[in-house]
Amino acid sequence: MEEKALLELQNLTKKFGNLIAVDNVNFELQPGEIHAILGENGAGKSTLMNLIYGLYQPSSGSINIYGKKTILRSPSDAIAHGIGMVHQHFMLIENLTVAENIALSVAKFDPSNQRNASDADLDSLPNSFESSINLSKFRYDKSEATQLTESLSQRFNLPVEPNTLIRNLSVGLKQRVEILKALAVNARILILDEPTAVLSPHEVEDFFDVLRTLQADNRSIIFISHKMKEVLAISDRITVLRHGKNVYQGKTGELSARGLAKEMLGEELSEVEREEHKASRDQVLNISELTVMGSRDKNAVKNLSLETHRGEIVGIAGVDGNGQRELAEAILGLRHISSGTIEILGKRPTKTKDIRQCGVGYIPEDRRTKGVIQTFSIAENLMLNYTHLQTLTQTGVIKQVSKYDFSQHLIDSYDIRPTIPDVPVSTLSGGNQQKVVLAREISPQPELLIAVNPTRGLDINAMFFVHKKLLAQRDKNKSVLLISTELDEVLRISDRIYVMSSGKLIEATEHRDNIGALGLLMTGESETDV
Amino acid sequence: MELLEEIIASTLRGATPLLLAALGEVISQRAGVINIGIEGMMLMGAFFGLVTSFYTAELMIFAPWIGLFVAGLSGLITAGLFVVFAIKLRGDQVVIGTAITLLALGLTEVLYQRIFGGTGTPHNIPYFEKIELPLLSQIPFLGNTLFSHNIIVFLTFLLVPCIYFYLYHTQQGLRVRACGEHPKAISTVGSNVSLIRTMCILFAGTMAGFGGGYLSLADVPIFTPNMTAGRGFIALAIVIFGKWHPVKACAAALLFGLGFALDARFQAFGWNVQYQWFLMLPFILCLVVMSGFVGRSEAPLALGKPYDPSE
Repeated sequence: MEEKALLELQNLTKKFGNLIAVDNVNFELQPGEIHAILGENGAGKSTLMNLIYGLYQPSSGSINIYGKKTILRSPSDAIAHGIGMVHQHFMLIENLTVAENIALSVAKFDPSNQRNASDADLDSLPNSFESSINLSKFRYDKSEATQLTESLSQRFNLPVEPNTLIRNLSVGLKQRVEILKALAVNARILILDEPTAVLSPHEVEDFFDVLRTLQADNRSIIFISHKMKEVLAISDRITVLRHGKNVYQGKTGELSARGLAKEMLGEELSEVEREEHKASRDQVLNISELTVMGSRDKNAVKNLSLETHRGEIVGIAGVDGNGQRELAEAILGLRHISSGTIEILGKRPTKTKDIRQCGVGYIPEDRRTKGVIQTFSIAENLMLNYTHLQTLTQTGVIKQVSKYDFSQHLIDSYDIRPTIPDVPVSTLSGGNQQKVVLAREISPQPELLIAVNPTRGLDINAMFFVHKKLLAQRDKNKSVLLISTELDEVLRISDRIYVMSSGKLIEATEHRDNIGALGLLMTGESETDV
Repeated sequence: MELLEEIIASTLRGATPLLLAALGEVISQRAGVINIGIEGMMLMGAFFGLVTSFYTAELMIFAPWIGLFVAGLSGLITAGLFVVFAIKLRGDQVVIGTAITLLALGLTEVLYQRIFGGTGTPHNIPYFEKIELPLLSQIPFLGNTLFSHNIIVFLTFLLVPCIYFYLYHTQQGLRVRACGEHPKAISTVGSNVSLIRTMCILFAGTMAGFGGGYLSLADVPIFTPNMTAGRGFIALAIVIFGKWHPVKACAAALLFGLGFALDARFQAFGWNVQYQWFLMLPFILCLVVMSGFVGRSEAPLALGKPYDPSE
């Protein structure tokens, strides 16, 4: 017999103007269930969650909670109905402490309100966490908030130091605080939006343990992800969204990863395969004993040495914030070097302009803020490169005809959509914005291409496109340095593999097939432990 | 000794209007709104406060109180204008603030000419006179410096701990601070960012209005066009120098109050220096302080950014 659903969406539709973001979606969530929602970027996952969390109002269709039709006008409505959300970009206030953040979450919350919202059904649900939700109404008392935080973290076995500032916490701990925030207001439905995107493989395991604890507590979890492996590991059921429609719903395990991917994309994947390839001995980049200062006056890169050669992709894996960004910026001359040398093709240029002229291409980590200028057109963005600007200008004046020929050519060969050079880049999807960056950086045929998280936030097809382009560079006997937080990506296309942890590099090519060992290296274990 | 007493006393008096405006601005900026319009709001307060006291003169000692009330009210209404453009229409806060200041400058001057004509404000307008606190004002040195002022000076300094308590020891204060750091985060826990910011701007406007009212109604009842002379902007500097903290802002206000006090003193000495040099003193102090002494900025992260819930 089917249990009564905790949350049920019936024919839910959300339109933005002419765009149908969520199209006639049906969905139900059972108590104590982990329900994964899979989909590419732009498949409507986030819109759907924002509907459930009261941030958007549906255009048609209904949301039923405990079998009762419910209208959620705002997040406070959703909270009152026991819905909590952990956003992909954390909603924490960095300059406040853990306890203060939790107090903010509790302050607007009225337990009696929640009771009315769902009356009798509450009895069958997890015990609400009432004992300590009694912060004073007006005063903010630090010790009260500390106590509340401590008892919450004890009750759910999520240890955290209440009086630390959020900005001093690791990403994994921040996420823990987000979950505590939701539990503090007794959320029985937890929406987790891409929760593992920021975690190391090791942290993901811990995180899954937390989810299982919550599940044992009869709380339901909606787990949004595009990582097939994790979805298969943790969920009970899977719903796949494509272009706003739910195209598949079933028990986990019914479909293989490949089958799910097919549902997500609606087509067969064209996998990118790296072929073994003999790199030459010609050195392109030679870094020796490099030390670079990060923010907060700490060394972010410590005494690091690295070589790359023609015809190879060197991959550096690692969790965010271990000095990858500083390393890339130091190579590009964007960051001051404390000690050590960087040699590019036997030269030691120090200014970014000279480094670029040596033939260095750069795909920065954040395309939206560093890769493109949002308000500029596609053509203008494509031109913003020293080499291109030189060929396209005559005594400093841009030649209009060649500008259009040139950009139209790149738009065609990199399959940038829309195909109109005058469209502002801000209207492009993430994948197409990244194609603009790739086109600009790869078209001058750089001897060395530095790519930092080149596929972050891209859907599978766009990701394959980027990988193909990087492999093509290698096959043209150029050198590529790939710095990425996605271990899969590094494994898939790199010829040699390093792990970066606390500013140091560890050669890890030999551990290629041992994900566990790589994961340990990424979390800072030394090589001898592996 | 007498000179020192006088300088300290006039430092307190000079600091009062600055502190009033700065305390309001601390709240507003903590909520994420740069209200450059406080210069204009002070001017409105100064003008309408004095005019009200002028027209209600027969009520004697009540007149300046009504004037002060209207001063706060006109600051509040001017701030309401700011709210419409900055919160409702999500315009650029700096541009709106500047526009409001220019508007106030023009409006008060025109009305001043209509009401008082060429003769200037009359001298018989009721105002806040110096009161000497019983007993306390008898203490040698301290009595003259700290305890013989008009009532608003005392009330203003009493406000400092109140604002401190509000910001750091109440739920609402916590929410105000969160609002300036990460407005989206607190909207997801169910708070209304626009409402919080609106209230904070209105409070800042009211306080600036009081500050203006102080200028025209305390010690000497007078209004001249542009009489605030940049005090609103100095209040902004005080907020930054005071690191967005009410107690530190109080210290900063006293420093600038000292600047104004010295300015007046030096002019009285009759040295053979053009008096404009002394007039510049507080503003030069302002520049020096802003360029050298403020270390790494600790501004609220979302300061000056309009909040758009759909982003």
